[in-house]
Amino acid sequence: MKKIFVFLIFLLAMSITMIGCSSGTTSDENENTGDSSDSSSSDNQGGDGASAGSFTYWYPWGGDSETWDEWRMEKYEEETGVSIDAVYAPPDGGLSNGKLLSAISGGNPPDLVISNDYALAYGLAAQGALEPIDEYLANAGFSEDDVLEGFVPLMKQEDGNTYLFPQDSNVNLLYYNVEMFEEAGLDPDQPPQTIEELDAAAEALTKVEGDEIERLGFIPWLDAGDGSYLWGWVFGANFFDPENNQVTLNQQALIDTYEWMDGYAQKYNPEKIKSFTSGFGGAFSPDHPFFTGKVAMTVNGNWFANALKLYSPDTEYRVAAIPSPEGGRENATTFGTNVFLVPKGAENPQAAIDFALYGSKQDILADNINTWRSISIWKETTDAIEWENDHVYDMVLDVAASSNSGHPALTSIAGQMADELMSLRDSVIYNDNNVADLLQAAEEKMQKEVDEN
Amino acid sequence: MNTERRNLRNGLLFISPWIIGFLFFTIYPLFSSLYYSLTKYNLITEPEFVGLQNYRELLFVDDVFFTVLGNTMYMIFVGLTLTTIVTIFIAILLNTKDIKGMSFFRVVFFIPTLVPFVVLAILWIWILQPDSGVVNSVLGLIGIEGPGWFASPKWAKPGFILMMIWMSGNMILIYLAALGDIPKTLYEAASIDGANVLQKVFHITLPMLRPAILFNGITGMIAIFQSFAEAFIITNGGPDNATLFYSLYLYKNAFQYFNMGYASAMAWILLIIALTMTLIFFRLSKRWE
Repeated sequence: MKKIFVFLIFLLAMSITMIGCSSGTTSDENENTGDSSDSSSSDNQGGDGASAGSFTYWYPWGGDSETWDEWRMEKYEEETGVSIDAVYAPPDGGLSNGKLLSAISGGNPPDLVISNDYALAYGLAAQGALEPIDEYLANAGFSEDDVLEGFVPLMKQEDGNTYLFPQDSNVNLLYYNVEMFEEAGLDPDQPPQTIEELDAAAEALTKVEGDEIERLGFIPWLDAGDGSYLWGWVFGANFFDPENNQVTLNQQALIDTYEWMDGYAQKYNPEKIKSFTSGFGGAFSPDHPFFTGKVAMTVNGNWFANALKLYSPDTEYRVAAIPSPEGGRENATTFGTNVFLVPKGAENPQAAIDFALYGSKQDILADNINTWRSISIWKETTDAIEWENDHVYDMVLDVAASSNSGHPALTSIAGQMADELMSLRDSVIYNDNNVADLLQAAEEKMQKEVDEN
Repeated sequence: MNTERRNLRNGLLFISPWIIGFLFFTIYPLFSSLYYSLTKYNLITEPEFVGLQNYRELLFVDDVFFTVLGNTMYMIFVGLTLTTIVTIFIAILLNTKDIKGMSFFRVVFFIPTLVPFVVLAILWIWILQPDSGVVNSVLGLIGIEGPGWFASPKWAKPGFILMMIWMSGNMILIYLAALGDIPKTLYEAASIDGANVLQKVFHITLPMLRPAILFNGITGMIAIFQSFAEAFIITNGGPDNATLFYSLYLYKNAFQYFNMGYASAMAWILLIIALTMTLIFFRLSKRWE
């Protein structure tokens, strides 16, 4: 009796362990079989391209963007019979929090990921974590010649293969409050175009009484200006030279960028500025300093117009291209491009790419642009776009078409370099440290990373 | 088979699920991380053996590493010390027997520990909001201009210390239990000898709490070395790297910079530091006896 009891316990223990250890593989196998049967059945149905079936799709957005993407997925499933296993993967498709990398190295990656962080995605491709997609794009009838030139370098790596497929893009613009401009005696029809004019306008718009800041005209590192690459790019810097594989941080354009920022820091005290503007909510909340009137001008993405409509409909504002210094990049922006990628080891890459290309179909693309004022990556535009004579969208198109706009720092270490530049900037604005020395040290450090990769 | 051997076999069988789990999910990762710490590894391509290069770089080249270590040590030496003083003080107050409704107050101090980290982090962004947060508003009422807290490189760490104290209900609970174990006769004898309250605290309460202080000190230190979520959510290491703590930098290296080997080396250095500090704690505590 006792022996039987011991044996049963042993059996139970072993089976629990086996189940624990093997759950991953069993579910994988199920998925595999599911995939193959699905794909054959929908092939018969004559889906969109050569392949169909089911695939896993990670997307980073919540809220209205998620609703929009769900609408697109539903429409696609209806039209093609393909089933999409969609997974919400914040904040950027699982790129910055290790979710995607773990899934790839664990041998269980999704088939398709869309990310709002193209720089990290580019880094992943350079590290060899992504599948080249040329073949699948060709099968789906894609031609590179149809894409705007500004997006092609982002898609490709040194080996000549394509790894990223852009869905759409965003630009950054200067938003300014018309009422405050008039109140300060500035002409809202003549927004600042140079850095000198921006500084002068900021000065005129700022209200400080004694020690209390009531309103700031402009803060360089607010909103999109907080990004590591934007101002450097506008000032004319090239962070990386892909031909010689050289990190180029210690250059006059970047010295000027950070010294200019330091000017604001020394004038108003960076801690005070940050305290003054650190509301709880981001752009999609009524608490944003541009909505509450704490700042008169800010640099932000084209989607900010939508946030203004929702949370601060009474603010009268206009947009202009980001002011640039002499010798800098006029009428320029860094793009905020959303990219599709296929992780290494994906099981159904063709189905994934077919879906990615579905977003460029006329009606889907137009709906995307009409909802988000985003920018198409295609040379040919569609008639279904409704933003004609909209002053924000006119400016968006103008800046997007500018040859000065681009994707800076396309390198395997873009993410790390962004962090490095962020802490460099903090070191300058909080401690007034020497910019050139810091840039030289950062350049050497990043070069070492590049050489090792 | 004799009884002893049979008992041994049965015992091993009973704990076999744990043994297997321990081997696969603790021992194997532990030693594989030791191996990876000697390699250049990005999780995707094959690891490449580089010897002690990662350790050399961390200890002699990477200046951020020392900033990070300094931030974490600050939290241990300043933060943990303050937390220990405050929690013992609160525990002594909560141990007062002759006040009605004391159990209510005990619950009040324990409740914050039930709040999940993420909720807690977002709550504290609000509490320490420089412009309109509760803390600065109250300070404003008594004429003090509150600092920038998480917006200031000087005040961000003290902000995290406030959070740490707020959620130290577990520590208070352990001190309360330890206080309950101190024999009343000691206090009675001291009273007869004419000792005042402070003398009783310093000569009876604190020495008798020593094992609890040691336990809370070690677990608190390890918790600080591991703390990640709060800084990740509230400041992401900024401003000016003031809140870039050890685990956060380790995570960034592993998953954002693709330096898994480097991150593994950091983890091993962390283990050695934590081990050394634990041994020092033990030594000091013995000397105190």
